[in-house]
Amino acid sequence: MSGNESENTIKKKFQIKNYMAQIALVILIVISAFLSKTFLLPNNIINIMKQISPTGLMAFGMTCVILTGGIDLSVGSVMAVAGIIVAQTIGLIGLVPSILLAFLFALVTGLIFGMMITKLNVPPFIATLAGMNIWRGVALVKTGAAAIPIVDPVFNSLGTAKVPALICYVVIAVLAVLIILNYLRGQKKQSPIMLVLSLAIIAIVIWLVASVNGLNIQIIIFLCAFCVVFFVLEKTVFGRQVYAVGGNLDAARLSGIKVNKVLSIVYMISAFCAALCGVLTAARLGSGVPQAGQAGEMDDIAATVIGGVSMTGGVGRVTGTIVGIFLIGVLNNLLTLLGVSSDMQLIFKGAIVAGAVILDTYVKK
Amino acid sequence: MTVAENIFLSQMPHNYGIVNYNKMREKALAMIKELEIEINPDAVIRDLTVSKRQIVEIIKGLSKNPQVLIFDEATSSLTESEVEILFGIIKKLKEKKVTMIFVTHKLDEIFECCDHVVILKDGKFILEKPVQEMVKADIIRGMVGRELSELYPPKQKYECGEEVLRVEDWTVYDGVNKEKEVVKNVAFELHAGEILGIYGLVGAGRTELIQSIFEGKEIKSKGRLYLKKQEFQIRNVADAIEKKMALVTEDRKKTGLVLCMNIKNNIALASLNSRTILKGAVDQDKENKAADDTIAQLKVKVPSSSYLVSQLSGGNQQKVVLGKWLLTQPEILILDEPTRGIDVGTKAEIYRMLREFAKNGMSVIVVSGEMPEILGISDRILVMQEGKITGTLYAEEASEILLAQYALGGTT
Repeated sequence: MSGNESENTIKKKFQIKNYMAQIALVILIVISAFLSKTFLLPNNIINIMKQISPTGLMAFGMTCVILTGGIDLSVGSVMAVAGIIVAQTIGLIGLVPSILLAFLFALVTGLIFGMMITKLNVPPFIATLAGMNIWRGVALVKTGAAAIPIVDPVFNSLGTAKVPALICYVVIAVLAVLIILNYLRGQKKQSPIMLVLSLAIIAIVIWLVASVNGLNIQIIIFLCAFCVVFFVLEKTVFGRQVYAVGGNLDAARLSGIKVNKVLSIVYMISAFCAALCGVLTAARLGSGVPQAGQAGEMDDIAATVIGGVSMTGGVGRVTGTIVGIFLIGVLNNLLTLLGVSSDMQLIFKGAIVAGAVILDTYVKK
Repeated sequence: MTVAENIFLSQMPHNYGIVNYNKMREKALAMIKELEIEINPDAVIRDLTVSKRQIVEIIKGLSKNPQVLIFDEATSSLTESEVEILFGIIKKLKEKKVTMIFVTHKLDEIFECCDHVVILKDGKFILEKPVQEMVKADIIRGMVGRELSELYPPKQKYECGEEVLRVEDWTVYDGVNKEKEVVKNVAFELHAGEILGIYGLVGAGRTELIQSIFEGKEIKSKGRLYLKKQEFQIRNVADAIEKKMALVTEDRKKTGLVLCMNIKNNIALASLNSRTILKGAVDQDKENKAADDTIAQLKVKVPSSSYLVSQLSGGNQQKVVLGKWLLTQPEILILDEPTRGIDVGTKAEIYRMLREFAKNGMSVIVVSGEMPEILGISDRILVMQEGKITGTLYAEEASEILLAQYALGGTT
């Protein structure tokens, strides 16, 4: 291309403003390491990951929804109902069918939201607010507001089992190869900084696995779910359509994208993530708890927004969301280690969300 | 909100900050009665017809007791009978010595309700005269008379190719005012290798006509379409793309581009289903190559396809939209106001490209309200006025005066 003046005025560089959440997380980790001697111990890090794993799953679904410019307030309630479905049916129809039933419930719920939003023009906020109340009510009524214990050793192992180190290494190796291959295939497009960073993160995970000899199965599922959502959003046609619908609905429609279909699927993904979270939580607690996931949707929205996903849609990445999840997780952990009460933690969480968004809009100006 | 609330929006009658609804209602009712029309002051605006809403808007203006009242294209969303009501109101206001400015492009309206006329063209003052001293032709002459420049590529002798698209008895309804026909029983055909211009003033229904063809069932319309002499229907945009049609929309920022995406993703947007592998995964090598090819072919001035489209100038953005549609390999390329807000250099480039496409057998439809553009680029011109096609002209016989006559519905 010829060296025209107008070409040179637009310069592309590694823009710090796109990585505010990542930087904030690093700073928080450094501060935590100074404030608490136990923070960097492998067992504590594993603890953090166990804490964030099930609820973090819902933030991935939430990211898809928010990318289209919508919102899903129902995830906490869907999660509770999914856990209860498993608790109530596992004795009757067995382990796998009961879990499948919970997933089926979630997909139908998501589809109903999608229909309400696309066909009846109900705003997503209202449609899912109604869903939130209805499903929470159903959960409480069906159980009499009491937890239903689950006695099924296989199911309960979904909550506590450790995946042996060897299997972890194999999974990690496959992932590392995929990342390197992707980098090599992408010609000069990606910056090597990202490659080094991802490999560094993998090294940390290997160190963790080695020091505690294996990883909790919930952490593995959480990381796998992240990889799946990452692949869907970044590499598939559907992912591209999600961004297009959120970025400019009319342009997307006039480019032949079936907007209604995309929206419906996105709410199904979100509900599915919520159900998966509900099943895992039930397994960990050994019971279906009707109060599970109360206000969980707010944490997920917070994580998504901290991660740089725009509430108006079209902008943001799931890599940001996982950073947001960690940011909240690390903060809670630090405050606990420092002996700050859980009530007090709420105040910090709120301040972080507000701060993150203000910083984000300020930097992007 | 109700009619009364809307009328007094900026000056609610109140007692120490508490709205006095009775007084407001009385005042609103008095104003409505004065104009001798029937509107319930308690009705909610969204339940009213478009014309009644317009009248409420006027009453709202009057509630401030203005010396001067300005109407900007006040009739463009009204049907003929509704326009009559509006004119009735204007006459009553005139009796009350209110000065009114009536901005319009419909000549008949000027003769029906104005005393004095000012003609503006391209932001410049042309003339001012009492209406009695003028006939339609004078106004038309004042509105046209620009020169064709070197902007346009030379045309070859017009040769009629095979018929590609035929539209018969095509009627389109307004999106808001469902009873109103914005396009009325239109018929035309499109041939391979020609550039067909569709000219009309704002509100003539040109955009609605092509939108309704491209978006199919998503817009309320009736009539028959023939693709290569086979009758067919279009269900949605995806269907239209499959049938090798493409539409470069009027407003690239609102309906053409996803501004927060980069160039290559925008270029790939309309072809996502045809250039994929692995059942749903985007082949990013193919995508990069397609984007680079498009950038080279259309000479988009940008160093890399991973720049955001929002960083580009208007002309380059338009090229990206064009590139998006070229990638779908259309046989019928429709462009609505293809050069709006674009610098002259890029305009000339786009005209050259369109001529090139036509030479290679593509059928091109250019919809525009700019007379020189239509005259410069088209092989054949359809002129629309108030939803009807009032004239079909071949390039040799077309002139600005003729176009203006058909578009304004005037006779000299």
